Amino acid sequence: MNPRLQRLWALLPIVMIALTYFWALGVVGKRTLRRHDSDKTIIRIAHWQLEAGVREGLNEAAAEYQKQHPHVEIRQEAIPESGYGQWLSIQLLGGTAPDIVEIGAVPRNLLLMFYQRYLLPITPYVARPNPYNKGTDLENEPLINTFMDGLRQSYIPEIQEYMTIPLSRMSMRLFYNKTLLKKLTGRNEPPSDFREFILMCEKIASLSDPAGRPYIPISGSGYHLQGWRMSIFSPVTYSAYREVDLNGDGRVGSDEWAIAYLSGRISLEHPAYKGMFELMEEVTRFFQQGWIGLNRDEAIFNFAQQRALFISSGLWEAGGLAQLAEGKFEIGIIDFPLPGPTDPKYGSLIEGPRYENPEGSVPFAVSKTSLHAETAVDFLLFLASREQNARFNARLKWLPLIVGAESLPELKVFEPTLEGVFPTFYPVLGGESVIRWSQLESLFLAGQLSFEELNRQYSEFMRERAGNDIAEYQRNKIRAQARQFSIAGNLRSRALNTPEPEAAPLWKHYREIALRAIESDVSYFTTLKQLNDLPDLREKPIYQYSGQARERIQREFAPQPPAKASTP
Amino acid sequence: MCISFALPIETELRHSPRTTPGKQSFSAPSGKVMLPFPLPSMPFPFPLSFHRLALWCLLAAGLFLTAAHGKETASPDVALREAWQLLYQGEFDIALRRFHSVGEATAPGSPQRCEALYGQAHCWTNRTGGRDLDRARELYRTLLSESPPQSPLRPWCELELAQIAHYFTPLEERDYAAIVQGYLSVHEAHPHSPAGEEAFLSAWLLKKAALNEKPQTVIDAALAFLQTHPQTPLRGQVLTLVANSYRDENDIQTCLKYLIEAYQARASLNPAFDYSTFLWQIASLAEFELGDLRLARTYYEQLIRDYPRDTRVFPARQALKRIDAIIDAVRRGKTPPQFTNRGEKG
Repeated sequence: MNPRLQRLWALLPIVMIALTYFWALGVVGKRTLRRHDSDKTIIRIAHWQLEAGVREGLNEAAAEYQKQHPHVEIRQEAIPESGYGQWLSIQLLGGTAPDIVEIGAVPRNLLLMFYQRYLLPITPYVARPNPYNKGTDLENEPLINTFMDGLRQSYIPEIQEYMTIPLSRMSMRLFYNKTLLKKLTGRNEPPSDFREFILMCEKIASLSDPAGRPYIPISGSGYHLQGWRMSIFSPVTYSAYREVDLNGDGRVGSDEWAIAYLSGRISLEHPAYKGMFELMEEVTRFFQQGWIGLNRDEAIFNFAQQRALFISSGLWEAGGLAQLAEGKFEIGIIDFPLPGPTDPKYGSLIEGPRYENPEGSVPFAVSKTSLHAETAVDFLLFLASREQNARFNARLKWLPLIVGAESLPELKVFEPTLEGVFPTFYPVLGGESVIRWSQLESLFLAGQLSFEELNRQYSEFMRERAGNDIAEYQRNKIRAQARQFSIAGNLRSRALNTPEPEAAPLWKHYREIALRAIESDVSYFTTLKQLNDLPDLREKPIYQYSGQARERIQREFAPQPPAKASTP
Repeated sequence: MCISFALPIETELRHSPRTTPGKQSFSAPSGKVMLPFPLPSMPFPFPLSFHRLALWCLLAAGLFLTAAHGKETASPDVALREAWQLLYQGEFDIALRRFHSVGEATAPGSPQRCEALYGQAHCWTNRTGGRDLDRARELYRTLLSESPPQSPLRPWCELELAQIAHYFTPLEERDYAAIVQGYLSVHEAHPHSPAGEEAFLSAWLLKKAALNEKPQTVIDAALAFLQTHPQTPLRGQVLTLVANSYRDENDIQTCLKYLIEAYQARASLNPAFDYSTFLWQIASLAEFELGDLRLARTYYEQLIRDYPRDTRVFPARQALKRIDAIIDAVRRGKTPPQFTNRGEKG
């Protein structure tokens, strides 16, 4: 080779690297210059919502905001969900995070660190009215009251701060192939009554498609079971809370459940739990064969291929299912047919509709490195105004989260029920019980284990191993004390370094969390005492009128005998 | 900067056929540096001097940038503020250096030196990677020995030492009697400081839970504390301890009285906190243990009103219906079915 050519050839990689370097420098420099030198305030917003319409919806909202604030420019960055957690971590740690980031896709312990170090609390805003609700009845309402979920998910108890502004609500419903339903049953809508629904499924299961394959009434998979579990199976366990709520706080925790089980207060044969297993058997027999080994996409495939009539799914998947059905069949949506109080089998267990968690989704937070944090929060407040929230969600066909924001008429079916019964069945505590329960339940659902055998094997396992799992559960709480200590320590040092009166709210927050770590000790020793005192615990009256209470009620409300006429 | 000029050297060592282990050199004997690419037979197109010049330029630029970036601020107060900010951002190493330099530059016993020591101790305790509790303890002790008695950091230092002894000891090795004593010592040394008050409550919560202290002893200590500390911001928490101790004594009437007081004390101090569990507990104790249906109704209604999206709204409404049904039955001279069974469907 010509020596000159050889020399040029040798230079090629360096030239390539140099070009790439300068190109990268140019891109970064251009962005930085635009960020710093532009006349406009640039707000970057990052999220992982790549569903159709989300980016367009945000762009529309941004355009509307920019009309009102011509000096602001909103730019969005949509990052694929699979890499979002990693991307977010790198951006936050590197101090290059966009002004507004969607929160999620990272483990909770990491999120807690992010909240403390890299994200701005929105607590100062929650008690103030949202300026973009001016002219509505929410005009003077504190921000927190304008959210249907009361910003519950946004409040992070570990640090005592509100951190995010969510924009939407989600719920799960039963999707069905309307065209196929009409063809097979002559009905336009499936029955809402549970018994009639079961009868209809039986009929569908007896019919075959043109290829001679039997129709599948319900397309199921391990993933789709969750929808059924949350919406139909678990709600029938509600009444058991009166046996399981050992600390009387009106809620049931998995450690409480395990102790109640060990004490003999409950077993799988409790009418509420036995009813749940019967209900599971009754419904899952209409899932396709081998459903338990299928994944989400395989179940959706059956539905899209018009082999199955029903599939449980969430609002977030409604658009995707509609796309799959486009031009082939019409999709209908109903609420799950929960057995009613008159149901001959489960009626006695049904005390009301099921409670659906109204917590907001698509939560956004503002990064501490934002050069225009005030503007970033302002844009979020704009998105959280009644008008914009309704418009944003209408475009995406999601449910708005702001009080009074109208949802699309076709989404009424997704409106969550905010008052109702809640589940009280928590057979796992982590550790070995997770594995054992998953094995037993799978075998039961696959029809390879009878309820009696499930009950016997679970009981055997709990007698042998539950004590260890409970102890480990409590030890994990104790291990978390160091983290709680750090969180409290940070808040304390902030309060110490802040002059009054700004320090006052910090001290208030500090006092609420300062003793949280000690609660783990208290819980540990309480559990130990309960485990050492199981026979007494078995007899402990919970939610029962004491003798003293009965006497007092009789005394206060019993009809008084008519006063005797005084004798002259 | 380090990486940018270390990389060619490392690459050369890896690829140069003329470099043998144990005889590593930064340049080839011919005076020409080998390419950092898998083209070993091709010589570098420029003489070594050019390469060296480039390295020197990079080094100079690096030093310049480092010097510019690491420009120290003159005022210890500003440096301390920056150090705390760095600490909150998780930059423990840089924060430590800042705290250390302030500590070195200020006089022992001065507020800045105390704060710098406290900051360093805080770094060593709270960092997850490279936590060094021995160093933290040493720094806290130095602060305690150097700081004037009136330093506001002294009680917090002592409390943090007690907390380190508590939270960082594995459960199996914890000596709760000693831990409690540690907290009590902080309280005795600083009875009217916020740290001392927190230490008091920590000690008695642990005495009750871990050392099985008699409920009446806990009640006496807690009520005596409230008498001597009428303005304590921990009043609500102390009253909760009293209420729980009365519950252990099975004196539900008094338990309820203190539970209501605890709720009121906490809610007045921090109204934004979630008190739904307090409301539920007060209502259900009043209903089932005391039969005080009016009180129960008040608190069930408050729960429904204040926390409309709480899971307990449904059972609270069931309770209100139940109370109505019971009163109605009793007024008609009948025994309510709810007195004998637990099928409480409203």
